[in-house]
Formats: sequence, C-alpha cells, structure tokens
Amino acid sequence: MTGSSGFIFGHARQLQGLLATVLFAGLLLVGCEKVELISDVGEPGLDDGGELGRNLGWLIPENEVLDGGPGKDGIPALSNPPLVASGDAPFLSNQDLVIGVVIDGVARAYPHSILDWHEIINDAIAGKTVAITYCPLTGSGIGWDRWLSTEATTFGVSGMLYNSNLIPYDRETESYWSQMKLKCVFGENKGQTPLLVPVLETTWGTWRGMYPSTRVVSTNTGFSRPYGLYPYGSYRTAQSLLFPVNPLDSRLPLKERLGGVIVDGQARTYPFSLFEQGVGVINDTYQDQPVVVVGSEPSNFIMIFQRTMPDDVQLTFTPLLNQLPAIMIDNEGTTWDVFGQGLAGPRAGQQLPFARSFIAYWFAWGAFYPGAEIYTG
Amino acid sequence: MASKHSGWRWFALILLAVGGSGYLNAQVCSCGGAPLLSSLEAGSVRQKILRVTVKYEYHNISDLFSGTEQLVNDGRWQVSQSGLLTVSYGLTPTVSLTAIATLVQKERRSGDHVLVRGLGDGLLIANVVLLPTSPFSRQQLVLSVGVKAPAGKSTLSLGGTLLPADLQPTSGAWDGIVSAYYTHRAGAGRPLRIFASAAIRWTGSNQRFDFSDLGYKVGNEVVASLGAGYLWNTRLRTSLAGQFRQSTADRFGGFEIATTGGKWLAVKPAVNVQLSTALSLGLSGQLPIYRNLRGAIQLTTTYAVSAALSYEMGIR
Repeated sequence: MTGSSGFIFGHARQLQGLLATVLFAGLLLVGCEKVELISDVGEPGLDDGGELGRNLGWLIPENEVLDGGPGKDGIPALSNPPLVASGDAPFLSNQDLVIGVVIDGVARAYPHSILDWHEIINDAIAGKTVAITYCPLTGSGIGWDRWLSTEATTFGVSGMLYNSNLIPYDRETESYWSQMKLKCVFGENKGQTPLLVPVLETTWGTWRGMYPSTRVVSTNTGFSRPYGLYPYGSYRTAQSLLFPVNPLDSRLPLKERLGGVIVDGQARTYPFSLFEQGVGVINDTYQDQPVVVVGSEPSNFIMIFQRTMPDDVQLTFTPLLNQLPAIMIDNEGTTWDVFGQGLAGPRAGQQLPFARSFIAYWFAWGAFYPGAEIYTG
Repeated sequence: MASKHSGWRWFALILLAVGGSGYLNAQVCSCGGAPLLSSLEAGSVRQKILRVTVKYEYHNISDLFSGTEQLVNDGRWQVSQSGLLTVSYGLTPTVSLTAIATLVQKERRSGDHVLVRGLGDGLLIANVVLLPTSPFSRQQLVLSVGVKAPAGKSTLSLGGTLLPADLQPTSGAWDGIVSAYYTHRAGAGRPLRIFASAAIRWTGSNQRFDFSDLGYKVGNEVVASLGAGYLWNTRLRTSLAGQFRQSTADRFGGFEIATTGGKWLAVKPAVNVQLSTALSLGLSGQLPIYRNLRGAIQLTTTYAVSAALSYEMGIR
C-alpha cells in the first residue's frame, strides 16, 4: 500500500503467482506456429519439412493445389466392389447417371450415386485392371488402366484438388495424378499419362437397355454412407463453386455438361444441345486430328473417337437411329456401337481409336484448358 | 416481486433481439479458430479486480453424421486443442473489459496425419452489468459486446498445399460478438445458482486463396446455455448445463457450402474448486445429446473436456 508498489494492494505472493501464470501462458502463445505431416511417406511436404513439393516441383501451379478437407483417403476409394445384377439395383432409377464399361463383352456399371462418395473404384473386368475415376465437383468420369509399369497399382483419393478436380494418387509409388489433366503431376511417375479405358457416361435406363446382362456396383460397399443423398447440396445446378479455379470461364453455365476432346493440350467441347434428336454424329477435325463425335441428348451420352483407322483410312460417319447400342455407320458400310466396336460390315470386330475425351462441367473445361473451344456447328 | 423477474425479462429481451436477426439459418461445424463463444460464460468481474484465466480445451471430433443419423466412422477423426488466456479487469462497478488470446492445435487423421498449430483468434470484449447483485438482489445480468480479431493465420499450407478452413488456427476474419449472461442465486445461504447465457457471433469474410478474390466466410453462430450450479461448501461448486449451438453454413464466394452448419445440443457438467481466496480450478466436459447437421455428411464433436485455472487479484 505504500511506496513504489502502492498500486498493488494485494500480496507479493499473489503477484508472483499472477506473473508466473501470465508468463506460462505467454510462452504457450508465442512462437508456436507449426504445420507438420506426421505420417505417410511420399506425401508432398514430408521428407524435407514442407519443402519437398517445391523441390521436386509440381507440373501444375503449386499454389493452386488445395487440400479439399477430408484428407488422404478421407474419401475412401473402393477396390473390387460388390456387384449385383441389373434387376437387383432398386437404389437406381432410370434417370440416374452411371459410368459404363464393356470389356470383352463384359458390361459393368458404376453409379454416380456411389462414385459421389468414393470417387475412385479399382476393379478388374475380364482380366483387365481398371480404375474408374469420377470427380463430383467437376463432373468428370474417366477410366484408367491401372497397369503403370510392372504391375497393376490401385488408386486412392489424395484429398487434394486442382481446379476443383480430383487428384488421385497411385499406391505403388505414391505419385499424384491430375484427373482432368490426364497426367501424373507429382512424384516418381511425374509426366506419365494414363492409358485411357473407354467409358460411357449415361443414364441407368439407357445403359441397362443396351446391356441388360450388365452388373452394377451395389451400395453394399462396407462403408456407412447415405448413398441416396448427393453430398454437395445444390452444387450440381448452382452457379457457384466450392473451391476457386483459375481461370474462371463464364461463357456457359458453370455446371453445363459437355463432351470434350483434348489434342496437344487444347480442348474442343461439344454441348449436349447439338444432339437434341435421337442420335447425332459430327464428323469433325480438331488440331488436324479427324474425330467423330456421336451423342444423344435424350439418351444422355457423348462419345468421341478418332476417324483415322490404323490402316490410315479416314472414315466418315452417319448416325443410326433407335438401334442402341449401335449408333453409327461409316462410309464403307460398317456399323459401330457406342464403344467404337465394329458390329457388322467390312470392319466388323475392329475398334475405333478412342480419342482423349470425356464429359465434364463447363467451368472445369475452361479452367483446365483455357480458351477451350465450344463447337457450334 | 417486480425486481425478482426483471432479470429474466431483460435476458429474454436480449435473446430475442439477437436471435431474431435473420442470420440463424441452420448450419454446421465451427471451421477455424478456438471455441470462443463457449468461453463467454464467466460473467463480469468486480471493480478493480484483475482476473487471469488459463484454459485448456480438448475436442475430439470423430462422430460422423448425416442429418440426425449417426454413421459408422471408417477412419477419419480430428482433434482440436486450444489454450486460452483470458484477462478481465473491472473498470467500474458495472463495466469490465475482457481480452482473450488463443493458441490452437489441430490434428487430422485419415490416410495421413496432419498437425497444425498456431496463434488463434483474439477477442476483446466490453462487459456491462445491467443488473448488479447486491444485498437486495439475487440476480446478475451482464451484457457483453466484442470483436474477434484474426490474430493468427488462416492460410497455412503443407508442402505448398493450402490446408482447408477447418484445419486453420483462425477463420481469418473479423467477427462481431454479442453475449448476455444471467445468474440467479437461491436457497438459504444462496448455494443454488441458476444461470443462462446466450452469445451470437456474426462472422466476416477472409481471403484464403491467393489466386482468387472470392472470400470464404465461416457461418454465423449462436450459442445458448441454461444450467444450475450448487455451492457445496466454501471451496466446491458443481454445475450442470445444457448448451444449444446453431451455426449457419460457411460460404465461398457468397454461396453456401452444403456440408457445413447445423444444430447441436449438449450437456456440460462442471466442477469448480476454490484452491485459495485468489486461485480456482475449473473442470468441465461436454457430451452431445442431439445433432442435426446440414448436408449429407459431417464430422462433428464426439466429446470435449476443459480445465481452467483462474487467478484473481485486486488492482487499484
């Protein structure tokens, strides 16, 4: 109460206690910033305390690679998924979208409603190892061959995003791949491009109409997920994104689905509105590559093939109506199905070369392939 | 008798005023930062009293929900640990100031295990005692108004990859906070204490992405508690409260993020031990009893515990 310590009328021991408390708390609060990856060899940022990503370098802008939130494998990829016959899938309605694959006559369907929750399904069809990759944020479904080098790997969901798009990682080398870039962008396999497996994205009704003996991935995946619910609310129709993209191209509605072909790192896209009547065919040439774009808005699919055959003959196509899965006939008289398989005619049994193509939301085409062309006829 | 109920009326009036603002659409998890609103239940301090509280909070976030349905969690969890330093000082018999600084550590484990630690949000609050306790009044009502500052970072990255909002130490935005705290003592010797509190946080927007000028905004939040405490003797006090929390959806570029926001109801048992005339120790827990979360799936708090050491001294 007196002298220089007069402002404190309490007790010296109390003051000491207070100072000790404040000092302790201060030590806790100051200088403690830390970001650390505690486990998982191979993830960018581990081996050198955060600098690995910079040193090895991404093939995509590093500052635009985002952590989507759930973490590595937080969205669990499926492997060898449970399958049921087409008649045993009451969880699907005819309008639900599926990704379909046919290999050696074996048809298999992967519903969006399951892929929304798992994004990658590692599977084997007729002995061929495939990974069905689907990004619900960019609406892009692409089939990859899982055979990378000496053995088949499986792919997992890294939890990272580039331009809102899935970045799978291969479990063999822990390398990171950009789905829509169609390229490994980080790690040991950097620069590799995946071998594409032709897939058909269409409605369940169209698919099972074409392939009634198809089997389909069931909801009995072993994971507790509300498969009947779409995980992202109104995202599919909203003019909004969950993550930024660069650049943001607003020439079309952000979530309009378009088929697109990629040649030499550039893309030309084809709106569904080009195929309003039955089945439509566009004999096009993009970047000096002759392609045929075949689609149907009512049946909800677009497929793109090269028109130049291995014997250097360039074909021209016209559509076939109401004959699914046969969709077109060429100028030599061969009829072709939705997977580019020659059905009848001089080239029966031959395969049209699959173009590097897939369906995705417009904003994703615009972000991955800036200035992407929109085919208008 | 009029004065006996006026405190409740004041409290209800404040609750209606803040609750009727239109921002209370349902919504989810508190992305970024320490659980500050839950720490605003200490009321006011007396004039010329300095109170320093060091608090530790542990949140285990491993329950997976779809709406009100709990799902089996197949391997994702997060842990959020916070250290809060709270300093309060009574300027006048009715006005006090409170400052809170936080240190936040967050972990996420799925296929990887990421740990983030850093300075969290800071809070500066002015408390006004609208109804002071006195020999003639068993009630106290405190209204608090404050601002939350993003003292730490919301742009931490790992190997160049920007981490998500719910792993950042702060939300990266300035928020406004209003809270009210009411207590009523009853019984012979007044060992029984009924208390209620309500707090609302209006959140601002941050700029998390260096290649986009679209802002990220954590959802607005309201927290309300109602409980009772009992003073067993001069040293030991226990309490049990129910806490309701509601958060609106986070927004990016103005649009709602589907899997954020919701409603939570939890019980919070607590015990407080007066170690000396100046020093007290508080322990509390939080167990959810109802959750209704927006979107198809959300990871949410399984339980929380906290420990706090408070020290009070008089300063002229």
